[in-house]
Parts: sequence; structure tokens; C-alpha cells
Amino acid sequence: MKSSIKTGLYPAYIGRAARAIAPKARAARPTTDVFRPGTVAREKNVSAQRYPAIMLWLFLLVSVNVSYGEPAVTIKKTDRCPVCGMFVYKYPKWVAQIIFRDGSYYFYDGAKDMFKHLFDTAKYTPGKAAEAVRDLYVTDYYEVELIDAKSAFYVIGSDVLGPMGHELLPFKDQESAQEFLEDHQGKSILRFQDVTPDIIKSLDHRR
Amino acid sequence: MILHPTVIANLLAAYIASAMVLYAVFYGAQIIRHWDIQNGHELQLVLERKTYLISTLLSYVFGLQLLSLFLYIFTADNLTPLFVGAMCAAGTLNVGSFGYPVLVLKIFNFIAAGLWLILNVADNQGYDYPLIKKKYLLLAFVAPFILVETVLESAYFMSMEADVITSCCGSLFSSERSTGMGSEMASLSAKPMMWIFYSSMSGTLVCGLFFYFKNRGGYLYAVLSLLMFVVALISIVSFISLYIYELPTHHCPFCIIMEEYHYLGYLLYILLLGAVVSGLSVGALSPFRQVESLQAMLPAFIGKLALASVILFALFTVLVTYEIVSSSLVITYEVVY
Repeated sequence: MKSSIKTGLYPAYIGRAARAIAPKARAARPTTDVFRPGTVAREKNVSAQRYPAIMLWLFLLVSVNVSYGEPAVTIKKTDRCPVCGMFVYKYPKWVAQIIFRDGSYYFYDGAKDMFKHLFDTAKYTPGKAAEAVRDLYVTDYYEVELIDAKSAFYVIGSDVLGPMGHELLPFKDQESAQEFLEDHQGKSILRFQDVTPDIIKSLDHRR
Repeated sequence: MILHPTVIANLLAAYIASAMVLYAVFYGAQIIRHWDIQNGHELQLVLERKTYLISTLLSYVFGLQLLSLFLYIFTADNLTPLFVGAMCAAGTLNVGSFGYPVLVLKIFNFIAAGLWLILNVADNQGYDYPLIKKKYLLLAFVAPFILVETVLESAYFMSMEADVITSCCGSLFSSERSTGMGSEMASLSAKPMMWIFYSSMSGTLVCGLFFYFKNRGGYLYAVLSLLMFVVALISIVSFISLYIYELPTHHCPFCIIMEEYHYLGYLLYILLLGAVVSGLSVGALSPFRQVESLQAMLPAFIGKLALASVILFALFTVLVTYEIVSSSLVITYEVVY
């Protein structure tokens, strides 16, 4: 029960899927695997003897990655969405996350539940105001990696359903959001600040 | 219809139970009408032989009926991944309109079948079939419910389609919805409900022990155990679930049967159902204490049933209290993870 899934930027198995789907994105982000201990160890063995420069590079890359402050946390098997109670590890493609200033963090099984929490923190995490939220992350639907929720583009009204039914599908840029909207009969693209409690309610009531 | 092995098992169990109950009711009706132990008529001899076959058969059928409640919940839990929005049995049962009625019928039939089995055991202990007519009257009363259950269960499973959007238990058992039994139970505030649960439980336990030692108040205990069963179910939705999940808003009575919660729910429900069946049977058997052939053993048997019921209720309470004490949720609404 206590076993956990190691993740760098996102769980290891999502990493594999992401690479399969989007090799380009992977190439553009060479630091992803550095957080996975196995990979680091192998590269160290080769480089430590013959390529000290590579070692230095690796070190620099690691530090660059950390300095971005991306959510290098582990999704444990016991982590549940505070809004609906679902186990988040079952739906890794839909993970969203809120990190509070005090370091506490919560996972969600979709952007919809993350917004629900954000709109009513008093109910789901009494004593923690919405102002105390430090970072928000959602999982990009195409790239399957955590991206900043505030800069994401959300498609609603599409024919793709999340674990909790109709969802906001997050994308990191306008183009991929537009492409998805056209491919999946999406209705509109929203920015973070456009999402209101009424929109969340309408997603829940859509059948 | 979804051809999942568990669905087939459910339907098979229901059809077997219904067919056997129909067969038993046919002879049961003759027994009710024509049974006369003093009479050496041919029909009486046939019926005497038949009753052995039927009561053996019914012990298995009702045993199956007891198991089928858990099989049904297990199936609903198992089919969850097929429905969008469902995260546990609650969502699956919400697919179509028959899921919850069947569950209620199954709980009712569980209690009735349990009572019949206990009545059967008591009847078999007297040499002159002392409870035979009562036994078959109870069967005739239960049979229609079992048949209705089978019909509704078939309708539920046959009309089931995958990829339907259903409701997650998070919304079915949520205090913010204004309609529905689940949300009404969920919106009962936890603190007063806790008081009600613990005070009524202590009352029930004291009454049960009083009956066990003093042999008085058997009917009162039967009524109390039924009330306690209902109070305990409401308590599970209202506050026990909160402590098990350690989430201040999650009231679902079905998520607790999942592997992630160590199948704790099954244990809780088995304890409760066992307690209510043995508790009710104390009241059901009490009128027959004066029957001549049962006088010697029945009071002791009823005493044992009362004790079993008290122990099961006590175990339930201990388990619940342990979950509350060891939980990291504090009900003053400060969630500690």
C-alpha cells in the first residue's frame, strides 16, 4: 500500500508514454530523466571515467531543472483527490496539482476538481485560503506532462471524457488547443482566468 | 448487457434462488394447508418426506441469498472502470434506475433469509416439526420479494450499457446536493450523529446483555437491534466514512469496500448484518419458548443468539472507534495529512 511511483516531472510511466507520443517534445527537454535515479547512475558510470565534461553538463542540467521549481513530487498510492476522493495514481494522464505556500500539496484527477477546490478552499481544505496557493499544475493532454495551470489553454465541450466525466482539457499552447478543438468537436478555448464556478457547474450537469 | 463473469454469476445466483424458492413454495403451500402430524394419510407422509428435501434445499438457497448481497456489491465495485464518472460501486449502481432498488431488496432479503435459516435450525431441534407452518409462512412471505429482486436485477444488468456517464459517489453522497437519500444522510452533521450513534449503541448493548443474563426484554432488544442497524448505516455515511477516508467531504459508504481501504467495508457490513439478523431472531423465536418439544433447548438457543448479536455490535463499535481514534482527521474541520 505504501509503495510509491517515482516521478520527476511526472510519473515514470507517463514519461514513457510521453516519449512514445511526442519524441520531439522529449528531445526538447533533455533533463526529464535526470530525476530518475537509475538513469543518473548509468550515465555517471560511463562519464565519471572518461567524460568529466558530461558530468559537469549533467550537473548543470539538474540544477537548471530544479531551479525552475517544477513539482518534483511523488504521487503515492494513497494520494486522493480532496474533492471527490478518487485515488489519483489510477488516472495519471489527468493529474492536476495545487501546492500551497506552506509546502502542502494536493492532487486531483482532472483540472475540473482542481478548480472546484480553488473556488471553495474553505470546504475542501479548511484553514487554507485560495490566496495561500503557491503553484497550480495541470497535465497537458497531448504531451502528458505537468504544465503551469495559469498559462494553460483549456478546451471545453469536446467529446473526450475524463475520469469525472466532462472535463477541461489542458494544453500548453494555443496551437495544440486549437488542433484538439477541431479534432474533437470542442466548443471553446478558455484561459485560466476565464474559468468560473458556473462553467465548472455546467460541465457537471452536461450529460 | 455487459457479459462480465461477475454479472453472469449474479444472474445465475438469482435465477437458481428464484427457481428453487418457487419449487419450495409450491410444497410449502401444501404443507400450510394440509399438514397434520396426527394424521397418517398418504399426503401427510409425502409431505413429511418432502419437507426434508425442501429445508435442505432452502438452507443452500438462502445461504446463496446471503452471499449474493456481497457478490452484488462486489460486482458493482468491479464494473466501475466501465463507466465514466464512477469511482466505486456507488457510480455503477447509479447506472440505470434499478441499481439502488435491487440493493435495498437484497438487504431486506438478506435479513429475511437469515431469519428463515435460524427458524429452520430451531425447528429441526424439536422432534415433532414444531415450527413447520410458521417456517413455510415466512417462506411464502419472502418468496415474492426474492422474485421481484430477480426481475429487477435482470432488468438492471440487461439494460446496462458501458460508457455511460454516471455520478461519482463524491456527488451522490455530498452534503451540498439538496435531493436524494445519500445527500440527506451526508448532510447530517457529524458531531450530533456521533452522540446518537454511541448513546444508542450503548443502550442496545446494555439491553442485549440484560436479556442474556436476566432473560427479559427480548422483544425490546429485537426492535432496538433493527433500529441500531439503521442508525449504524446512517452513521457510516454521516461520520464513520469521513474518518476512514480522512477527507472532510467524502461520505461514500461504498469506497470503504475497495482494496485501498483493505476491504474494511465488507467486514463492517458483515458485522452489522450478522448483528441485526441474530438480534431480530431473538424476537422472532421468543413466542415459541413455551412449545413443548422446544422448551428444553429454545431459551438457551435464543440466549446464544442474543449474545452473538451483542458481540457483533460490540465488534462493530470497537472497529469504528479504532478507525476514528487512529484517523488523522480531526472533526473540528482541521484536516491533517
